Amino acid sequence: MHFLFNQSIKPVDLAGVNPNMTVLQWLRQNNHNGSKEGCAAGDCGACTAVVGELISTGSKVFIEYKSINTCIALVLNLVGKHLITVEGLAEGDKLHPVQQAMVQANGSQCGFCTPGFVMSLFALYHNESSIDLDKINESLSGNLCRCTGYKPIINAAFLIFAKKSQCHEDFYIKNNAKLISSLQEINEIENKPYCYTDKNKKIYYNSPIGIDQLASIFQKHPDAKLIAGGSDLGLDITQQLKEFENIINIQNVAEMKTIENNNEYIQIGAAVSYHSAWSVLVESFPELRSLLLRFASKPIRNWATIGGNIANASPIGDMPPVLIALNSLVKLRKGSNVRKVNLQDFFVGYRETALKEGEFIESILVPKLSSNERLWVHKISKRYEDDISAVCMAIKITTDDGVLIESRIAFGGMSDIPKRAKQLEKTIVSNWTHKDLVHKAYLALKEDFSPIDDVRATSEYRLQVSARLIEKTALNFSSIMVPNMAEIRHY
Amino acid sequence: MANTNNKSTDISSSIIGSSALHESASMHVQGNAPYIDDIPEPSGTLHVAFCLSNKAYGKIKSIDIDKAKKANGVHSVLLAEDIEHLNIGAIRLDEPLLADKEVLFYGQAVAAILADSHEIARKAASMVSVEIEELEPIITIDQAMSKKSFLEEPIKMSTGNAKGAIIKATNSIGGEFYVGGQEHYYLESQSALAIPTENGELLVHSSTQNPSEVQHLLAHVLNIPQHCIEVATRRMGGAFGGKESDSSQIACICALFAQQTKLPVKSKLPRRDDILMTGKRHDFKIEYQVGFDNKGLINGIIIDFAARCGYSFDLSLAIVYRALFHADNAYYLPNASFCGYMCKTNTSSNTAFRGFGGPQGMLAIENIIEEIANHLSVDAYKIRKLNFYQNNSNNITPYGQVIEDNIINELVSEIASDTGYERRRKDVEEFNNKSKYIKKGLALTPVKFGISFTKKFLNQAGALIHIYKDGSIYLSHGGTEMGQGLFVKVAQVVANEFGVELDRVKVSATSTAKVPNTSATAASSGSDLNGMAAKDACMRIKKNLVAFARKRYNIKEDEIVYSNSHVLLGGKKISFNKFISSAYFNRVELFSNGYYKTPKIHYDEINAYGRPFYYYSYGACLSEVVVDCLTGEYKLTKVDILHDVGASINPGIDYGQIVGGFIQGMGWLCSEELKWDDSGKLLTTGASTYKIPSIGDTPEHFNVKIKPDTSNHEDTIHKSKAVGEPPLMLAISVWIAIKNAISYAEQGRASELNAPASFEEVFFCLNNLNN
Ligand SMILES: Cc1cc2nc3c(=O)[nH]c(=O)nc-3n(C[C@H](O)[C@H](O)[C@H](O)COP(=O)(O)OP(=O)(O)OC[C@H]3O[C@@H](n4cnc5c(N)ncnc54)[C@H](O)[C@@H]3O)c2cc1C
Ligand code: FES
Ligand code: FES
Repeated sequence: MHFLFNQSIKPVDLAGVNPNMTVLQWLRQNNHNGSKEGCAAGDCGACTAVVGELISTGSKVFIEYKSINTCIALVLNLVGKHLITVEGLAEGDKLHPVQQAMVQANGSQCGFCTPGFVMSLFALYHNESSIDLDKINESLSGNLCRCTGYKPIINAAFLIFAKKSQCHEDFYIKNNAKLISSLQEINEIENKPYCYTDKNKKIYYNSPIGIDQLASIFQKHPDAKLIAGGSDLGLDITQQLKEFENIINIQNVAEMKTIENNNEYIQIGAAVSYHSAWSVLVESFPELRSLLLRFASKPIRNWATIGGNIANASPIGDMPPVLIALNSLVKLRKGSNVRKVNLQDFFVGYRETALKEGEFIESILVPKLSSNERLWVHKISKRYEDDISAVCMAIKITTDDGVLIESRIAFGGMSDIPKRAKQLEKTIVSNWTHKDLVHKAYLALKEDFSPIDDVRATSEYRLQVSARLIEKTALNFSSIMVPNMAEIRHY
Repeated sequence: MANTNNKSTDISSSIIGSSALHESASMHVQGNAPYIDDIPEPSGTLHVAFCLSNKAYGKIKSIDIDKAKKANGVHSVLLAEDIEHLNIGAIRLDEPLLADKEVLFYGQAVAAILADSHEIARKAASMVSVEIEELEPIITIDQAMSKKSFLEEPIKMSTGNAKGAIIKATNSIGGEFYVGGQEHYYLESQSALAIPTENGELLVHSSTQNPSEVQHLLAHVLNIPQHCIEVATRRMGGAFGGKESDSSQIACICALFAQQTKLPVKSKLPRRDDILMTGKRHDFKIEYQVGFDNKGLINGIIIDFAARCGYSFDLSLAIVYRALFHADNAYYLPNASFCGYMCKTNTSSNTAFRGFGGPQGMLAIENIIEEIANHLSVDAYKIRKLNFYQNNSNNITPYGQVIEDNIINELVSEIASDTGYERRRKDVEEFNNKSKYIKKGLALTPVKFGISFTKKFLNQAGALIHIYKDGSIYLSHGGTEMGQGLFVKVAQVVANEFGVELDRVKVSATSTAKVPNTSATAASSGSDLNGMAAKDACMRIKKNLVAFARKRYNIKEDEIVYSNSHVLLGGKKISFNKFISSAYFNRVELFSNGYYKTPKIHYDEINAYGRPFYYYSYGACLSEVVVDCLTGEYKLTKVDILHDVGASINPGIDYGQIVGGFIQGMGWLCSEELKWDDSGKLLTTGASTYKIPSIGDTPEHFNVKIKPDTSNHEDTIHKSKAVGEPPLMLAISVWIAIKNAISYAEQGRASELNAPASFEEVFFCLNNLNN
């Protein structure tokens, strides 16, 4: 049960920890107080740290460094990985270049958010060789600062890269080879079932590395909780104060971390993070880029999975409407049985799915668009970055000789499950170029849905803005470009 | 008495006005600047969590604590009935530490649990079951107004004859709009650590802007003299007014448990509890009538402000006053009548928040000006200029203060010409004429903000300076550091006085044991008050040094110069260290307190007349937005700011305050929306539902200029001006720009815009598919 921590080459043993313990709790209980708790819900980024993961592609072996929210990640999920926190950056008295830049640019005021920003910048430093405002915004999308107005932090990010070429290599670059072999060593011995005992309590933790192993453990213990990125599950622990008695980490299941990409479809393993799925998704569906950029935040995307988004079955998840519009299937597995279910039939009721006891999602099959098909995706939320949708709409149309003949439209935020708008689909086929499309769409939407009033939007806004999104899509179809406000910075 | 003896040059002249870094910057970036939750816990430390009311109003029938008490690791459970001196409060003692017989808002603390760990305490808190007989709550401003549920009689301020002037005016319009509140969302939630020392005494670390008030309330609750308690605050992870009075409750509960158990007791509120238990910026309902001529000159104006104050008094009276004090903003209103209602509601007790009512007052008048402009179909910028205060006439505020330092005319002209305002306006109009679905909006709005606590007695401060034998300087003052850079600014003042490098001055944690009876670090007054007090302490020490040097070196007062860490003594130059060491051996007192009280201010509340403010800070902001009329979504594309900080002590720090204040103000008026359900349950209890600005909301074109070559008309510390609050109100231009864009799209509908201008709010100004 080992992982590497900061600049120590000697692995840390996690034996004895409660599997429900988050990384942040572990850090703070062990007096590593640099990472702060601002929300314990993945929203603020004060707890951000960087995780290094060993990646082998063919003959190449390297460590990929990614920012995560330590407040909702489980510490046992770090086994075999390398955790770097804000305490691990400076070498003796010498500040790391990202720290120097933050100091120089007045990047901190109260300083409480600063460790998180420093770590997101550290990840940026390790992953990019050049910089622009888009990259900065993307990599800091999960860090809230209430004091600085961000501008000084943006200045700091530019400063890091202005000086990067002159900088000496940091500890982790210099010691890369040693760190790789150290990670290889701890990875070889890991992967045993673990049981934590405390007084009269037993809590189990498994981290299978093969899908057969996962299938058999889960079949035997169908009451166990699967955890992938933990960006939904972690909140149950920190916000609902739940304690799970049996946890199965699926993050290391090799077969579920693969992506297959061919002419007809993409198959994405359920343990693939948004980060890893990004390029394939955006290549095949460029329209998704803007949604993916607005999906949670960088650190969440680094760990969270599409499988988790689907299994979580939230009515306001962003990927389900997109995947339903694309007519995707999910491959489900129980023991040695595998079945495929059309995603639109997967959601059966509020937070209820077609998954049977001991069954899990193995992968997602996303058919590609044919040449006469087009996709649009719209997200409406209160803030562009890191916000849950009030409405998420995905629309796929099929044309024949430039005329719309079929549509498939799915919504999040309009019902108790992600759902197709069948009336609307029909309506737009006959009214796509009608001058009063918007009202017709509105009436159809009212037949399809009776959305709720809640903290994110009123029912009426959900209905009306959806109708306008249809109008906007139709305008776009006829080459009248109404830009997506989330994407523009100047106009 | 000329203080010729106190010359300080070179380093000193460069220290004042230099962008010295925040004193903790290098610790911040390494994560080793400790906040309360990071202080190594003394052994045996216990933890507190709260059980909160899940009803807005009702009688407590029973509280079942059995299950919680029996839980593993739980030490005890505290209820109101266990506390003798139950009530605390900033002005009135009307806030029970724990709900007593009745609950008055959703989220009110009902029980406090003491346990081995934070997690155990929280779990146990969820096991407490409270039976409440619900009563009908008063939640909204409208409900409070119709039921006349007030904390206090309405307050009034008037000048001339507003009603008469409106009747006589060529044009008159009226309307109403709503301005939402704002959650502070300081990144560090409320926290406290109480450590029993000896003989019933306590050291309490509190994340507070107001250590003295915490100390005084602790003494009251614990029923011991104030001298038995030391409250210390090294730094806060943000405060913004939210830790001016709201930090006392948690400190008191920790201290009560510490007194009982004789063990250290700590608490840090989970985010949800923090948002539920503590107050926010007051939301306001504003009604107005205004009369004006055909050019837009305001003849008479009546504005009624109804503020949601919550269940208790807190600072609401002063906040509503400050709203009235700023309802003129930068405009001369010869006939004005303002009235403020303090609505008592079953919601948490709204409290100080950067601007302290000022922003709401200012938004009211800026909205009215925009309405006048729309009515007359002229550019609002012209109407603003027409109504500005002037220098020798038209310079008396509705509360009788003569404005002596007005620079708004030149400041606004300067930003208008810097940014090419007229051309920008034309561009926007041309764009809008051609564009159907996308509209741009532009607004240039001014800020004039009054500096001083409006309660006169609060305008005093103390400092304490030690010079040790090695020449290092230890500075204590009553101000607290919450990120605003107060410590470095006051250290600059001190380093300047002694002509030494900045790092020779160490600023101590704020402690009631060093400087007593301090006022909250609030009202932007931190460096004005504490800088002056620290300077006074320096002067007193220097007086001792002068006496010594004159005798020892046989020189005149004005031959002593502090410079470059040396002291020039006539023809002789010795190091500061040597000088200090020799002074010590010659028995010179090397430490002193210092004291300052703001001169000139007075205010008569009954007649609403006087000079509540020592001076004013000014600024102006030009914002440009683009709005998608189909969805109500918008983007802030361009911001230009010109802001007056007098002669800046630290432009780097001041720049940070301006940028940060602006973005926070933008959040208040754009994406930050507090929502309650009909029963009074607050729904926005975390960052997942309450959206403060994130990095992409910072505009790419964001020019911030500190007004060069200015000074303070009054004799403030190095002629600087306060900067904490005023920049927040620069963001009013964003909201006005959105309103402006709406008026280009839908003539007439712009009046319907409330704040915050959420996308939904904007959408419904532009759309209604039901018609
Ligand atoms: C700050 C923040 C912002 C967010 N923003 C968004 C957003 O913009 N849009 C959005 O849609 N969501 C958002 N989310 C929700 C969440 O990130 C997504 O739902 C994410 O895709 C979940 O993936 P995960 O791997 O973290 O799931 P986990 O938390 O690991 O798992 C979620 C649930 O699915 C189950 N599960 C996981 N994998 C499988 C599997 N293979 N088979 C069966 N069951 C499985 C788990 O047992 C658990 O019940 C946000 C969350 C946070 C904390
Ligand atoms: S503490 Fe806020 S994201 Fe982790
Ligand atoms: S510096 Fe205070 S929250 Fe960022």
